[in-house]
Amino acid sequence: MLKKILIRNNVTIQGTGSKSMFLVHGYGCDQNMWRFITPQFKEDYKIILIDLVGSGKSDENSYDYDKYNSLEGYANDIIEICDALNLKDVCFVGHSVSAMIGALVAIKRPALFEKLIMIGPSPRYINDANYFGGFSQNDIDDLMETLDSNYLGWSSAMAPVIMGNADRPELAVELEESFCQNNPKIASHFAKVTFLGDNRNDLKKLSTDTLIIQSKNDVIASIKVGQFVHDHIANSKFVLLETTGHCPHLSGPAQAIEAMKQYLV
Amino acid sequence: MIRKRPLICIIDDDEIYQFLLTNIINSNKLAEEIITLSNGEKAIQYLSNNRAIDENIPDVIFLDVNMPIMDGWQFIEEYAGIKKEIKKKIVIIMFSSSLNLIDIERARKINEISDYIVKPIKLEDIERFLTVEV
Amino acid sequence: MNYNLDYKELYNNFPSGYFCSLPDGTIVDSNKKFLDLTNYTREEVIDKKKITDFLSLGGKIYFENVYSPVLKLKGSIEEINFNFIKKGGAKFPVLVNSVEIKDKEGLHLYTQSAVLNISHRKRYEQELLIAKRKANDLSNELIAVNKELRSSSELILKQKLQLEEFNKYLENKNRQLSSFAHIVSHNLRAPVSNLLALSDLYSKITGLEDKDMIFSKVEIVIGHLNETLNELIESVKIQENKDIAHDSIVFDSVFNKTLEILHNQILDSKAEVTSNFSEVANVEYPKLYMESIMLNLLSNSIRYRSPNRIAKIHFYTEINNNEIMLTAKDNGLGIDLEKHGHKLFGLSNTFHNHPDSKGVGLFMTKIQIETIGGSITVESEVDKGSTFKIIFKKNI
Repeated sequence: MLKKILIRNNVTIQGTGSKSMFLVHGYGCDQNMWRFITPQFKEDYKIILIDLVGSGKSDENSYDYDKYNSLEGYANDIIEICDALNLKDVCFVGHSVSAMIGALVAIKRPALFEKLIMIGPSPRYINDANYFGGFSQNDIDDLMETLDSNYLGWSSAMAPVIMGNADRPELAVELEESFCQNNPKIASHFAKVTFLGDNRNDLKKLSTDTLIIQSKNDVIASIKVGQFVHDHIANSKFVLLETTGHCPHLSGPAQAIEAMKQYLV
Repeated sequence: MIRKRPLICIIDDDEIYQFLLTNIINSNKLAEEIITLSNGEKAIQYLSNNRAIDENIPDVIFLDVNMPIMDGWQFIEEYAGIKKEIKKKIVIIMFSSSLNLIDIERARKINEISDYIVKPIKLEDIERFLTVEV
Repeated sequence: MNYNLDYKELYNNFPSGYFCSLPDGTIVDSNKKFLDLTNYTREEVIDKKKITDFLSLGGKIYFENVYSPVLKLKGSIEEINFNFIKKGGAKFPVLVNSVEIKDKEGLHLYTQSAVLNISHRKRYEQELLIAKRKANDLSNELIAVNKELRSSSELILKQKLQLEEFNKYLENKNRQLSSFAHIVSHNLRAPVSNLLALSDLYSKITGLEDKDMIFSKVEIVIGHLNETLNELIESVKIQENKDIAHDSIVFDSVFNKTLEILHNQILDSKAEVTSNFSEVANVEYPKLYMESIMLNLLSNSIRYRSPNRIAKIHFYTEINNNEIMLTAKDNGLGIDLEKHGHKLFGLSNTFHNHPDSKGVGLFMTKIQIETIGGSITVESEVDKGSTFKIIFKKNI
C-alpha cells in the first residue's frame, strides 16, 4: 500500500532532520519548483516533496476526474501520505491552490500539522458581490483557451532539460528531466477545479498556526486577497515580500526562505 | 341366337363391397357368372393363366382403384402389356370410393378404361354397362 | 570574410519582435518589429511596460503558473502561445521564446525574448481544429448510425429466422392437414358407403337368416370404421401434443426392452438381431414414441423377412450432419418403392400377400416422428431388404 502511494504521488524524501516539512506545489507546475528552497532546510527537517496526482511525474492513471473534481480529493491524498509515512507535527508549505488544500487537511486532521505556511494563497479567484478575487469568468475562459492552444504545441514546448543536481548524480548527463510537463486534458480539468473553486467558508474553520507569505506584485493572488485570507484565519500571521510574480520561492527565494525561517523558530 | 349374359369380374379388396355388388347383380340376374378377386396381382395372374381360354375371360371388369399389393392403376399397366394375347375385348369400369378429379382425368386418358364411377354404384348404372356392351 | 555587419541594425530590423526585460518583467529594450507588432512607441514601452502588460488576465495566470516557473527552473522556454494585446486593445497570437541571461555567479540579469506573430498560422490552426472537431462528430455519428443499423439488421435477421421457422411450421401443419383430409375422405367413405348399401339391402330383404347375415356384415364394417376412426383420433392427439415431455433415453435400454417383447417372434423366425449405439448412446425423446418406433420397425423387419434367407436385422445410431439418426436395416422382402412408395406411411396399407400385414405401425410412427420435428425415410430394393432412417431432431 505504501509503495503504491509513493508512486502515485511521486513522493521524494530528503533531509536528515527530526522534524517533517511537507511542501506541495501549486497549479501548473510540480515539486521541482521548491528547488531553491529545500537545500536551506535539509539539515533541520525531513523534507517530503510530492507531485499532485495529474501533475509532474505522478501516476497519471490514478487521475480520477470524479475524485479530483474538488480539492477534497487532493486533501485526502495528502492525509493518506502522512499516515502512510507516520508523520506527526508536520510543517506544511503549500503554494497557491495547495495552500487551500493544506487548509482542508488541517481542518480534517488538526493533529497532523503543527504549522501551515501558505505562499500566495487565494480562497476564490473569481470576483463576487463584495469580494475581490481578481478575475471574471471571462478571464478564466481565456485561461482555458491559452491552455488549449499551448496543448497543441505541447510536445515540443516543455522540452526536457538536464538536471545538474549534486544530490542526484545519477541524473547527470544521460537522463533528461522535464519541468511542469502535465497532461493537457488533466491540466485543463485541474485549472477549472482550481480557478472556479470557492473555499472562503473553510478559512474560519482553520485553527492551525498559519503564516501567509504574500508577494508584492502578484496578479494571481493580490495583496487584497492575501489580506482577506489573513483576516479570516484566526491563528495567522501575514508577511509581505518585495518580490514580483506569483512564485516568490522561485523569483525571490532568499526572501522567502528568510520569512520561513523567522516563522519557524 | 339368345343373347348370352356377360361374365363379370369384380376386382376389389373390400369384401363387403364385393358382397353388395354381387348381390345386386345376381338379384337382378344381370350376369351369367361373377368372379371376385381381391387385388390387382391376383387378377393379372388369372387373366394371364386364362388368356387362351376365351370363355374364362370376363366381358366386364369392375375395377377398384385402391387395393393393396397392386392397385387399379398398376393393374391397368400390367393389363395393357398382356392385352394382345387376349382375344376378347374387356370393358373395364373403374370405381373409387372418393371423387378425385386427378383420378378422373387420368382415367379419361387411358383407352382401356371405359368409364369411371364413384361408389356406391347404382343399379341403373350397372344395367347400363351390362346391356350396352353385350 | 568581414561583412561589416552592424549588429545593432540587424537586431533592430530583425523580422521577429525582440525585447529584453529585467527579472521583475520590466522591458528595458526592444527592437523595431516588437514596437510595430504592439503598436506602441519606444517611449511608451521602454522602462514603462512589463511583459505581463501585454497579456490578458487569463494569459497572466498562465504566465505566472507555467511560463515563469519553467523559465526559472530551466533557464529558457520556447514556443509558448500567448495572445498579445496591442495598443488600442486588439489581440494577436504570438509564439514566445525566452532565455535567462545570467552573470558568472549565476545571478539572473536579464531575460531575452523573441516574439513571433502567428496570426495566419493561428487561423490555419483554428480551421484545422474545427475540421478535426467536425470529423470527430461525424465519426461519432457514423459510429452511432452504424450501431443502429447493425442492431436493426440483427433484428431483421432474427425476424427473418422467426418467419422462416413459422413458415416451416405452417407448411408442416398444412401437410398434416391435407394428409388428414385425404385420409378422412378415402378411408372413411368406403365403410360409410358400404353401411348405406347394407342398410338399404337390409330393408329390402325379408328372410330372418338373410337379415342376420347382412347384419353381421354391418358389424364387420362398423368394426373397420371404428378402427380407422381410432387411428385418426390417435394421430390427431399426437399432432396436437407437439410439446410432449422428453425423457432421457438410453438406446440400448429401449432396444433391449423391445427384444424382450418380441422374444418369441425372434426365436421363431431365427432372425439375427444386432445393434450398435456406441456413436450416439442417448437422446432426449418421448419414451413412449421411442418404444413404439423401435417396436414397429423391428416387428416389421421380422414379419417381412425373406423366406429364402436368414433374417439379418441391424439397428444403429450415428451423428449425421449435426443430427442424431437411427437406422434400422434388414435383408427382408423389400418394398417396390416406385409402385408402393407413396402408400408406405398411409393408413392401413399393405404391400405383401401376407396374412399378418397391416402396415398401421408406420402411419402412426411417421406422425409421432414428424410432430416433434424429425423425419423418417426409407430405402428399399425388392428381395434385397429395407433400410429405415429416422432423424430425431434437426440441428442439436
